[in-house]
Amino acid sequence: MYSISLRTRRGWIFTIGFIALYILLGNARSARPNPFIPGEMIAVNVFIPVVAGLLGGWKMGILVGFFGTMLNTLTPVDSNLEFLLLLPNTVAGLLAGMLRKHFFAATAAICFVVAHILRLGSYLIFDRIELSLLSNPNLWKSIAFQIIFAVVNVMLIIFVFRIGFSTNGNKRTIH
Amino acid sequence: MEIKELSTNIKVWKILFAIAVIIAAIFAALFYFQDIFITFIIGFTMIIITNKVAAEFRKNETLRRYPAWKRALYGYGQVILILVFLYFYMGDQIQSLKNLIDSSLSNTEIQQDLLDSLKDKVPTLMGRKLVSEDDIQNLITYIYSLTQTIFSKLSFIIINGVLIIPLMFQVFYRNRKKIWKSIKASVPEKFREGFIRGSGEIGNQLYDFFSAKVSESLGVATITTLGLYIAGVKGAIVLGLFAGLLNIVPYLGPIIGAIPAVIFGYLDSPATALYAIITIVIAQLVDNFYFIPFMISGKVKMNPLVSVIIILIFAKLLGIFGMVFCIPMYIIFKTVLIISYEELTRIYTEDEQPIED
Repeated sequence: MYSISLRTRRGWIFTIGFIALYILLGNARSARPNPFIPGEMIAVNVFIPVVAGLLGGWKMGILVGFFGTMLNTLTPVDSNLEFLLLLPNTVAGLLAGMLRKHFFAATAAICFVVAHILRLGSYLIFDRIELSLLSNPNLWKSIAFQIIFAVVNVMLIIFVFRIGFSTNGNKRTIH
Repeated sequence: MEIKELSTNIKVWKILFAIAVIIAAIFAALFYFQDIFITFIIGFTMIIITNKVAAEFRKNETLRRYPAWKRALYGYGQVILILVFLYFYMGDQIQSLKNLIDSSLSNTEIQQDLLDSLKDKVPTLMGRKLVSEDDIQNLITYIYSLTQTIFSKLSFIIINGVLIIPLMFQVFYRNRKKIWKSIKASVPEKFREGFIRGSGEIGNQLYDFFSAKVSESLGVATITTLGLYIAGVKGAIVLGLFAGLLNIVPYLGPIIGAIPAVIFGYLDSPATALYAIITIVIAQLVDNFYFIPFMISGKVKMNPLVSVIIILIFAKLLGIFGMVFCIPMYIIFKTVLIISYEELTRIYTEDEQPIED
């Protein structure tokens, strides 16, 4: 499996690149507001710590999840709510790194489910949402769509990495 | 394959000439039936991608514990999920781009605003001497008609693809060994070794070349898609894929691929167009400083001057398609001619005397 090691300079370049990508995607001009949580945008960057964990292991996943979210709190967008995502994103990156040797699509789905549960928990604790919102079926449909969207993104990015950077040890000729 | 001393046997050169003419005729026929040729190339590219994905699945130790049908189900399930998602998401994006095109084509005010704002931005000195209003109008009309031509050609290629590509997969994965065996058996004994060596060499080099090009295009498409999404350009996935696809055309491809992204960005706001340009520049920098040196150059062993000359010649002869396929054609020509020469010199040195001076 393609792997990026933190022991190399390349690994650190990828880590910094993933953190930068997390921040850029978090501030994307295409981002749309979350209809259920006032002041929050629909997070498309949640798959970045998971990708980092799947490719570079749990250490890279934790670094990207923690520092990406931390630095994103300094940006204008989502600054009020981003600190609530510190734990969910860090845990998502950690889980992805620990489970990466298994089916990566299923691993990614588990990570996103856990991240969303932790996120909802954070919002409830800090009174960003009301408990009654949890009984709204549209919220769960939105979360399900976000999870599927994120899993597909992870699959595509991993797919591009693997066919782009994998060694051709299994080269096939056309005959 | 170092050629040290050329043969003086005229028969060798006559046969080589005939081989070169036959190969040139085959390529000419392929370019005449361009749309079908492109469909074959797309099918071949999809086979390469499938092989790479299958190779990655074979490497996965966890998957190896499970029976073949479960592994296949897992693999196909992922592919289907991605395709369904892309179908709905891209369909939505294509529709919004189409609406944007239709509204700007039918609304002459938008065209006039675009023209006026372009005139303001082009410096007065250049505007008077180099670029006139008619030139800009013609350019905009040309870009719109080119976009419509590309979309109509695309639909023809898709129809061909639906018919041809599944059959290509069937031939490659089921009948490949049988077909290869019968071709080998039909080659005369004394040429067989050279034929096997030559076709192996061509197969490996073409596979490496297309494989590297696929990886490069996917990389550029990914960077462009992410960048255009961050920039706020509508239809980021479609435009990113388009830019990645056109990146295979040397020199002109990145520019042509960037035009729709910049135009759609500009229709939104000048700032969006600027961010789109920055995205394209970053994608090209990564392509030229990372993808090409590390992916392409290592696999396609070719003198840079020779490659530039060949690209320019084929650009003149066959246009954009010539630029895209000139390197694979060069690979085939070179390998066939060199191996044919080696075999012919081996055979005719043994059987016939060379011409005396």
